[in-house]
Amino acid sequence: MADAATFPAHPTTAHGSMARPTVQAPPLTPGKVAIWLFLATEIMFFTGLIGTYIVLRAGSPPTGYSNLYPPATDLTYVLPTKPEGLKTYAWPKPYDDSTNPLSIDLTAVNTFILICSSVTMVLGLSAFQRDQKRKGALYTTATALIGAVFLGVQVFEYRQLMFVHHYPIGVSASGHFTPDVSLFASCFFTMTGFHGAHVAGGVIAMSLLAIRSWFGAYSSTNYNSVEIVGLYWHFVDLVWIILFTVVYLI
Amino acid sequence: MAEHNLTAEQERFVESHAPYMKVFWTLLILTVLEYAYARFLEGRLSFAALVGGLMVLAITKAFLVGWFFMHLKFEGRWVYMLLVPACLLAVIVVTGLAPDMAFHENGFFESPAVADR
Repeated sequence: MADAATFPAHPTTAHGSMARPTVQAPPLTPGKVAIWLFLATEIMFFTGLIGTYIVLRAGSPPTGYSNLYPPATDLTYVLPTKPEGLKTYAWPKPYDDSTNPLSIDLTAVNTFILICSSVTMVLGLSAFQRDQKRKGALYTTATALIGAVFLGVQVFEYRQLMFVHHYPIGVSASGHFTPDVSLFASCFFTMTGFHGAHVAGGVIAMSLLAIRSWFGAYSSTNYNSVEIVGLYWHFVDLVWIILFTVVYLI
Repeated sequence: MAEHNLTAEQERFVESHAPYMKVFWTLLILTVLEYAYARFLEGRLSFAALVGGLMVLAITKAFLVGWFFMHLKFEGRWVYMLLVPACLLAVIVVTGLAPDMAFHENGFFESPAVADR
């Protein structure tokens, strides 16, 4: 079994002595450098989004959201009358149904799903590196499918938020959570939407990999494409880990 | 960082035998911890403690993904020459935006709940 393979010995010279290793790290390919350069720009892209979110959130007035009035209502003339049961917040609190419509339980499960896809991806690459083509194809296909499930859950969540559920007045004046109802909604849809677009791109690339892998395109000597798409996929997972915390939990 | 004195074949061997399932279970446990931390300690901790705890958990998870799954553990120094400037620029962007937070009368780390009426 390939899993039980022993650590490869250093090559020896014609005289039987140990040859000097020629490579100190995994092979450096143009594709790999390109994807890391691209990921460096992506770091700055998502930092820009998250940084802007933090500024907008920090700049939100203490009366920006309340349980009795729609978001961004000017409460200057309302507060002195001290309406019964009025609670105001600078930003919707997690788990507060009166101002925050996000389903954290569902998204926590979706986060777990995306982490699973990262694992299948790395196991797929590992299988190709060991020349286990069938196993690699199975893992790659599983990654594409699990990624599609993540996207499906996100589409379901968007549909529930925008069209299906009717939320309290503190969430939206119209009852639906659409990007135009509040700053919170705009930020939420911008950040998760851009991330979702990245996942969609990843699923397409992963599907192409999966199809090619069933035709034996990748092996221990040819896995560069799998590694490149894998790096992108893991980065998308990494970004989601941060977004889930910043947007949903805090 | 890459292990030294290994041939390309040996590096590939090390990479393909990394403890991925252990990392997966660790990520799963951290996700459950993060969820529980936010769910059950929200309202009992100060806003700063809540944010701090959640960010430590999230950054630990992100580090595990980068270090093991993205093979930063095995890559050469060249990859850090790309990542470090990008991360520095990212820090500069956020630092540049910080005055908008620091000079705001509410202050970012004031709990939103204090505005309760």
